[in-house]
Order: sequence, then structure tokens, then C-alpha cells
Amino acid sequence: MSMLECTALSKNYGSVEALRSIDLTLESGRIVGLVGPNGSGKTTLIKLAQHLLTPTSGVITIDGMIPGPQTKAIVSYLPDRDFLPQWMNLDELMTFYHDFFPDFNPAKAADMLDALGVSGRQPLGKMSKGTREKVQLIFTMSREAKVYLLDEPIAGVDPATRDYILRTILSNYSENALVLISTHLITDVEPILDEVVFLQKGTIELHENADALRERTGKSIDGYFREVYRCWGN
Amino acid sequence: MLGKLIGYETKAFGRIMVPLYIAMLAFALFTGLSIRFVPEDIMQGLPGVLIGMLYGVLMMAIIIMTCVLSVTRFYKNLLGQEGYLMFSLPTDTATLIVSKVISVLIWTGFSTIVAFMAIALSALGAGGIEAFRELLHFFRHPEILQHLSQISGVLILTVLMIIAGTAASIVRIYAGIAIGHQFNDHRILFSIVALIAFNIIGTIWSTLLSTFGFYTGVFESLSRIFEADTVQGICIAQTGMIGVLLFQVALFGILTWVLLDRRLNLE
Repeated sequence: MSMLECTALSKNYGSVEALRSIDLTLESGRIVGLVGPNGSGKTTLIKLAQHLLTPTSGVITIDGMIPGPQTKAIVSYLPDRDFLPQWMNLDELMTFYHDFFPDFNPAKAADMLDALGVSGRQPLGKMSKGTREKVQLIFTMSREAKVYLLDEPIAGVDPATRDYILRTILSNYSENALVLISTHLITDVEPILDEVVFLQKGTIELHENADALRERTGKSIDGYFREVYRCWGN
Repeated sequence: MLGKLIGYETKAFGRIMVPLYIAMLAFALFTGLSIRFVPEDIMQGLPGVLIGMLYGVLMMAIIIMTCVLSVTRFYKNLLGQEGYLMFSLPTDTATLIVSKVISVLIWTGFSTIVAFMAIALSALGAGGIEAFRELLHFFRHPEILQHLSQISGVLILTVLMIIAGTAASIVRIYAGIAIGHQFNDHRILFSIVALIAFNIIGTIWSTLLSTFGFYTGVFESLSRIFEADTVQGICIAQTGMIGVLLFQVALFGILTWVLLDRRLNLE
């Protein structure tokens, strides 16, 4: 079932074309890697899906709906920055998510926080950067969402935290959900990907099943990515 | 959803404003008791001056913090990094904006009440319970009650005018901030420029309205009503003013909504 669909989707920032008439269909039950160099349009695409931006032309739909309050109820979004109120402690954050997101599962969040050893009445702003990133991911993955939009979830964290984040994604998304992970650190996410979408200068250069791509090219996704982008770079 | 958002804003405001309110009320009582029990010659000296200054500083702190929070809660919570969370909530942009405006009105009301309570507590401390009895006695006087009932319409309209005026001011500031956020650099500077532009346009608009009122005879009719029945004249003028203020709320509210919903430019 098509969960995210883009038809001739374009987004311009003034005279800069961030996305150029892209067509893309992503099905539910898949973990998709959205990869590409910086400035290729990954974050723009995710922001359009979350109605943080509006398209210049074309259409994007989530579960058949134009992004808005109804789609936000079924999309769990992790931006690439500290987005949670820094003055809140974990209890206040639990109440906030429980109040505003009907699909939030507090027991799941509590279990993950316990496993991580994060507790207490300390505000988020007083926690270390790594812990804050884990907390953000835990709250994002504790929603029983139909779509997870994860923008650079592993950028800037240590290898141990990366492993934790990937394990958390794998073990917590619902099997009927679509997980879209934007990243330029392909090696780390490669083992969990079902599909990969390569973006370059606002256009989709490739959209293929991860196993099929490895088989066809005889390379890992990361190896292929490095080779192709070196060519495109030239 | 609107109720939940207002509740969340209340919590965010309260964690800063409630300690200030408690400090203000406690200090007001202390000031009153000092006036009552500390010998007059000491109170007229440096300690009295310091107490008076601190009283004034706390009162100003409440007014300033209410204004500052009204702006920063919008700026940081919707247009800063927290905006990624707030604009991901399953609600529409209009509800987010309305929740901010209502929260500001609620906390402006609380701050006003606390300011009056502080004055009352100072009086209670200084004059004891007797001072309160005298004050109540004053308001129960038949002539005062009769006078108040005659101007009750004016009083109610005054309160409504203050509420509409506060809402219009805050939505105008929000619209200015939303315009400033259309730029990638110098956002605060462009917000201030937008607010100055609003003021200039507002002045031109007022002049045009006054000219219109003068030449169409509206002012003359109003002045005749005012001469015949002052209270009715004031009520009509206030109702007109409330209408103008509500029009401003709608105008700047729609502008803010369009910019945040269609041209959101988060950090």
C-alpha cells in the first residue's frame, strides 16, 4: 500500500531549486534510506511531507492525504536538531506526548528510558547531547505511527549511540509502517534498509531495493554510493 | 486541542511568572507591615527608600516579564527549534496562534490581578483589617453604588476594550515577527522594521478614518449624542473602538496565519 507519494514535486528557495519535479512512491512496511550529499534535497523532502514547507508545484501525499493535521496524527517525525522543549523533564515530556499524540505509547517510552538508564527530574537542557538525542529518538519511536520520518538520526553521535539508535529503530517500528531515514552515513544504516533512494541536486538518481542493488552492482550500497557520487562530483 | 495547548502554555508561563507573583505579594505585605511597625523616622530614611524602590522594581519586573514572555514564547516556541515539535502536532496553524494569544490574555489578566492584590496587601499591612473595612464601606455607600450602576456599561466596555487592545497589540507583534522570519538573516531587525511599517500604516489609516468621520458628519452626530447623554456617547465611541481593534486582530491574525502556514521558514 502506497504510504508516501510525490507527483512532479518541486520546491524552490528563491531562485534555488531544492527539489526538481520528483516522482516517488514508498510503500508501507519498508525501511527506506534517503541518501545523498549535503544540499541534495533530503531535508526539504521530509519537511514537505510534514507540512513544514509547502511545495512550489506538484503534490505530496501521506496515506492518500495532503500533509496537514490528519497526516501529522499518523507521522512521527524526528528533525535533525534539538526540537524538544529544553525546560521540560522526562515526566513533563511524557505528559506532553500523551496529551498531544493519541498514538503515543507511554509504557514503551518508559521501558526504553529504563533500558537506557535515563530518569529523574533533570530538564532536557541539563542532559548531555548524546542523551538528549537518545531521548528524542525514544519519544519519536514510542508512537505507534504509520510513517516515521527520521532526519539524520545518527549524525554527530558516537558509534555506541549509533548502534543503540539503529537497534531502537529496528525493534520499535510497527511492521506495517513506513520508515524513511535521511542520512549521508550509509555504512551505518545499510544493514537495516529495505530500499534506498539516491538524491542528487534535487532529483532522484536511483530508487531500488537494497538487496537488488547490491546484487546488481556487486558492491555494498555505501561502496556504490561513493563510486557514483565521485563520478557525479566530477 | 486548543485547551491542551493553552494548558501547556500556562505551564510554560507559570514556571517563570508564579515565583515572581509570590515574591511580589510577599514583598507587598512586608512593605505594608514595615510602614505600620517600623518607626516613621527610619522609614523616611534609606531603608524606606530601598523598600519603595524594590517594590517598584518587582512591579516593573512583572509587567516586563509578561511582555517579554508574550513575545518570546511565540518566537522561540513556534519559530525556534521547538517549532519542529509544535508544527508536528496534529492541529492546524490557526489553533497554535490562537492558543498563544489567549494565553497572553490570561497571563496579562493574572499580572493585573496580582498588581492590584499587591496594592491591597500593602494597604492591609499598613492599615490592618480596619483599612479594608473602610474601603468596603466606601464601595457599599448608596451614592457610589448608584453611580457605579449608571456607568456599568462604560466599565464593561472599558474591560472589553482593554482585552481587544491587548489582543490587537500582541497579534500585530506576531505578524511582525512572522514577516521577519521570511528572511534568512537579520530576522529580528526585519521584524522591527515590519512593526515600524505597521505603525506608519496605522497612523495613515487613523488619519484617513478621522477625515472620513469629519466630512461625513459622523463626528458631529457623535458629539450631539455625547452632549445629550454623555454615558451613551462614551458607549458608542467605545463600541466603535472595539470594532476597530477586532478588525486589527482579524487582519494581523490572518497575515500571521498565512505566513506561518504557507511560508514557514524554521531555523
